[in-house]
Amino acid sequence: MAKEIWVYAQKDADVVKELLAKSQEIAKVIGEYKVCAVALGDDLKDAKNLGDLGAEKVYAVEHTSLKEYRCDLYAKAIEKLVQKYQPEYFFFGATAIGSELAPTVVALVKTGLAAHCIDLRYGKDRLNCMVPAFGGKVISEIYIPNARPVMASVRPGILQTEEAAKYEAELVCEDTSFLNDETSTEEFLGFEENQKDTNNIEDADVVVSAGRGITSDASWNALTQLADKVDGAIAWSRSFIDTGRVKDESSMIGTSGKSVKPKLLVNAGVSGAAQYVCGIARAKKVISINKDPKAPIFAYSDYGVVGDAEKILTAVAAKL
Amino acid sequence: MMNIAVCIKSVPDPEYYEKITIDPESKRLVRDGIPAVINEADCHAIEAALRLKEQNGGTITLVSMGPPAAKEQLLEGLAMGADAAYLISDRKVGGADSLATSYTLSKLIETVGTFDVILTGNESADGATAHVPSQLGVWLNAAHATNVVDLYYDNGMVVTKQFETGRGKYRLQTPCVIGVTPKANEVRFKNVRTILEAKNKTLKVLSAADLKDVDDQYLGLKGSPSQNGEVEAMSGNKECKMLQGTETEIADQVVEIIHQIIGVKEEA
Repeated sequence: MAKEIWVYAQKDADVVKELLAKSQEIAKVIGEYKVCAVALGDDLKDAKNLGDLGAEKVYAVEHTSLKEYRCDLYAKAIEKLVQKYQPEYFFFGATAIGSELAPTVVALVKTGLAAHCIDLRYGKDRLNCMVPAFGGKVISEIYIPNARPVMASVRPGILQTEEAAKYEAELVCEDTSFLNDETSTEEFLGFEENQKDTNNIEDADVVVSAGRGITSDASWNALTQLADKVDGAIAWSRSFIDTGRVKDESSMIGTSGKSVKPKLLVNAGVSGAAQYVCGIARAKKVISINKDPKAPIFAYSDYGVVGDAEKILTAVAAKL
Repeated sequence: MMNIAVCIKSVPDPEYYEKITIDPESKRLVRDGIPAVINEADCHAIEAALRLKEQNGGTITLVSMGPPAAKEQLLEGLAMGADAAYLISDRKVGGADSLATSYTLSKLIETVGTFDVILTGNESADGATAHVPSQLGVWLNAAHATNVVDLYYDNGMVVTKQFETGRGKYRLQTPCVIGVTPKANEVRFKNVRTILEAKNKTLKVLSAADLKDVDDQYLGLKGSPSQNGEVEAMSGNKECKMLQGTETEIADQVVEIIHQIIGVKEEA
């Protein structure tokens, strides 16, 4: 067993940086573990740069057949790497690719995997993977006592970490000739990019978010007016979608939606269901308006207003 | 002709999740009195199967693992239009994590038929690991795809997968396993004929001993590499400053806070 913590370095995924920083934190606690990145693709000349994100060592698995992501070939290549080096920990971002690749690798090497974690905490002599269940109503501790590597997929944009130390990474180029003889059960037919999102809640400096309490046209208009005045993106909770005013999940905050990290988040009529608050952990300042003084959202807010969202939003928009 | 298996799961109704509590002594979840339903994404998998059958002919077989009461959800699936249903219910397969669950389901599938396409809901509402479709693919040595928003047959199963930056299209060799998301289709209303027919269709409960070629080490608790520790309720820990006063006074304070954080916006 190698004293190594591996991170799957999915191309262009911000979560890789978050995972490498978290792995460094874990390595410090458990001692003498090396944080390594695992990169796959057909052209990995830049893989060494993963050292800038915190990797001490980079395993580069380069082969023409890995140009496009195909789950079966990627998983086979990773399985081979795991069998050869036997890392003790292996983390994936819970992106669409990571959420498919990680369980595939796990079934091949027959180990355990904690899914869609919101935090990784070392304690009680084990790594505890914090996993939301029942729509985020509760957080379960998942751990893997015996099988190795301990594997976890972690939601992007949620981990709170210090800046990672940079390394001049050691590059390990793997022999991938075995892939010459591998055939895939998947044929890649094409990729269609998303249409440009004009309401990008993930990168916005200001986000104004609607919850179940925004019921009337007047309150919705007041909210959009405020968002307009502060150049804010408009987001919403799962419960707001359930009210029927909007359908689009691409602007939804929460464990099954997006995580936001604005300088300012204004929550209007959002009660603060667990699955929602997972998505706002990195907002810098939070103002919440809710008519229920006991609403859980206030425990995640810097400023709270108990009152009618429509009236408050209208008054605020008028003064800006 | 296309033989289709659909994996479904009986889950506590998400409408009642607010009623779930944590026992302060045992730290276990208390979910008494919450009714069971077919997991929502699985209904979309059944709908996808009905459409594939309409286009290509064939049969639809439901498979599930769970307590005997899960027969109710299988019966409902038959009422939606599936042809036969099998439930594996046995203490030996209980306490399973996603790896052991997917192994058990793969053995159930191999025991009850030979299938071209195996559909699952992409994830369940309760555990929501979304592991089962991929892991089933490995156990069955079949191609697999998750996060699927569109699927049809054309010389293989053509699936569209939703990624963060766009949609990727793949053709999978059959047999294959596909994790269907609710975006893939709208579930039709049940019709009277399928509801009436449901009671006369095959609905069998199997035990672990009925499964073919099973390696016991992969079943149940013993076959589960991951374990559950404690559960905790989500709770915040910010010191929230509650703004006081009339609506106008509060609005003034909010405006000031906004200005402090993002600066005063110049009027154009």
